[in-house]
Amino acid sequence: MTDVATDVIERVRAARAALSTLAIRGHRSKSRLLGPPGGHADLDLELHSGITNYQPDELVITARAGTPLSDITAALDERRQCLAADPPMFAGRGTLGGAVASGLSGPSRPFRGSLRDSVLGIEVVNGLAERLRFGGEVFKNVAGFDVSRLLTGSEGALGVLLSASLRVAPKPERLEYRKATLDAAAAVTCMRTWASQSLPLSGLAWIAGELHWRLAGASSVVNEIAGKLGGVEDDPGFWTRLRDGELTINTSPTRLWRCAVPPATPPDPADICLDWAGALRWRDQDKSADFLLPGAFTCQRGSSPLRADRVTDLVRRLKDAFDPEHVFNPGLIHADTTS
Amino acid sequence: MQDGLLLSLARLNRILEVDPANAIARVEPGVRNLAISEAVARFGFFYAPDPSSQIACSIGGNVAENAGGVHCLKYGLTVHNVAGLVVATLDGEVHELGGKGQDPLGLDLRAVVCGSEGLLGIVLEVIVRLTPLPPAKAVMLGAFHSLAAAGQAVASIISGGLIPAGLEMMDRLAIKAAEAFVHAGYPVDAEALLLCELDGTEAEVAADLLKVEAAMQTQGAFRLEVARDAASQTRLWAGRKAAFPAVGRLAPDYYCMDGTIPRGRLAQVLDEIARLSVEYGLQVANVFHAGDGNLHPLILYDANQPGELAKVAEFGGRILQCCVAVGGTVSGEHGVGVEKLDQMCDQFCPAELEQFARLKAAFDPDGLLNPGKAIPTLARCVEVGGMHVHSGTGRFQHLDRF
Repeated sequence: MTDVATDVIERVRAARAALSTLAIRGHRSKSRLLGPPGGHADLDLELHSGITNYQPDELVITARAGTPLSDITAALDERRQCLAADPPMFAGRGTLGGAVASGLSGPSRPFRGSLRDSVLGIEVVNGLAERLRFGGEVFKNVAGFDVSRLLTGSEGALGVLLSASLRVAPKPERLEYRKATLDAAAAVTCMRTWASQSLPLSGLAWIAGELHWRLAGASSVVNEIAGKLGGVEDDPGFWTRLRDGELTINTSPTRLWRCAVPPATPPDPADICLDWAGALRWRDQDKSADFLLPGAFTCQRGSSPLRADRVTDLVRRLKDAFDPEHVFNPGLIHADTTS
Repeated sequence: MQDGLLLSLARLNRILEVDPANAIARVEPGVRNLAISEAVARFGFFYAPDPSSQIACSIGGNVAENAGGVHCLKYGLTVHNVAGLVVATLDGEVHELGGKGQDPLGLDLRAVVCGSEGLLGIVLEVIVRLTPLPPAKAVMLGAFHSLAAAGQAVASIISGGLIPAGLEMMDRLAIKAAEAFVHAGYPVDAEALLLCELDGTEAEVAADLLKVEAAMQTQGAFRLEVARDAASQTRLWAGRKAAFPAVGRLAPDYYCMDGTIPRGRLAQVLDEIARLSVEYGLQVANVFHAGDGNLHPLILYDANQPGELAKVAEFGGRILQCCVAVGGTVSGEHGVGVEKLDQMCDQFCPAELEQFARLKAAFDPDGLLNPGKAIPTLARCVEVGGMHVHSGTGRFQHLDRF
């Protein structure tokens, strides 16, 4: 547990003065997914770590950016709480700062909200080397623009996250895991039917000819619904492997596109996996031409990622509003990216 | 404001599309909040955020304020329930922010437009996320001899692993006013009242009711009442929903405040409000969204008495300062507008306000949208004494402030 905020601010000030650039780094666990940031020098946040405030009764945890996600989930677990969005931990690694900066959520996203949904406040160093605080530790807060949620998923292009406060959720009393054999088209129909009912689901995904579902909630409810939905018992480890890319990024021999689509979209023959009750598709580039969707991006072992961002003038102006000298993470999201 | 144009979006009032398969609806900004839930009910859905004004307020206004409602503890605020926006900036560009999918890669401008009080762009279309209607619902009322005990009950419900659909608290004055106004059957001898709504499957509601009952009893609730049918639920909610107009009958005028605090500081903040109430000689009725720490102290006054308006504004300002001091915020859901500009100077430092100004300028470089609202100028903060600024050290002096 260390606080190196002063050093971070000094590095930003120096980089700005020298017109050089910084690549913001944590555990480097997402380099393959989002691409390694460019930059003349690495700005390592791993040392800036530690949980600074955890109030289980208030459903809030605040920690420095370099805090390992595993430390956070362990602390929450002791009080029977969790991060509702269940962010991925590739190879078991990842920091809070990386989770917030990437804005990635796990399989529970459609049912329990996104990581961005749970962000209550952040502390950030902008491109002017100013230490700023937005939002806070309370759920309802409309004072000023919602900069915390704008920075969630901004991939470090707007500033260096120093700390973040997240709303936490009670850990479900009971989890049940089921699966059934189904083709992709039938799986989408089934997913949408279930997602439109008030069911205690916390995961609904299709891969390799099987529909998998996870139920979470009070024991009586989970038992009742598990009986109604049928299926056969499934391996609980499936959901961690899915969350951490072991069934998608890590296995595919070819380039996969991660596409966010309207969830009822019929499956593409190139979809190797449907997650988020249909809203997230992992699409094999070799088998489909329909992958350049807005916000889609790729990942493949050993090759650099591609992405289909729409970088508008408005996005460029926002980059300039936070980081006028373009100190942070060149090559990710902002004006330096070709759209 | 001089030479301003008023842009009303009230007639952009069409529901453009209900898409049950994707669980979304696409609507224009002038559509009323409740009208969305009414339009989608036949598909088994509702639109979750339900501000008390939902019969009249528009979804465009909800986006501008990031509106909450009594059910936001479980279902979230507007920002959690809006999947996409079509927004026009004043350079004539129309931006599609988000859409029917979830979390595409890239900057999420949708999130920053929510709650921006019309300063960033004009919302032309809103894609709202729909929530499946829960099959069962119950409301529990608990009456307590002290606000502290009711506060403890809230803490133990939540730390016990339950997130109720709604969890509201009222103090003695608010209870009495509401009871006199709508005859909801509230216990007028209570110092504090809790209303807890639970929803889900039948089994879920039954299990959760037991937990809430136990938590309330442990904290000394002297009366418990469960409403299982729609009519008695409506009756129990009626007092809470009519609390503002009910309190309005107690005095010629009332001033509704809106701040959020960490729930654990509730007793401390209420003591301070009670102390200020004596100091200013003005009565206060308290209504809270207890689950999320959002306070609505209603200060009673008479605007016809010379000086009373200024006094009430100062009183309100000090309540908000107290919210900031305990780690809360000057606005939970009603927004800043022009009313709370001075308190923004308490909550944010000059560099933070300047960052807001640059963010605003990225969307609206000429500062033409809702000038003078939501974000104070540094000059104003210096004048109210909330902030110390060295002259000439502020950045971006060339930018117009708004």
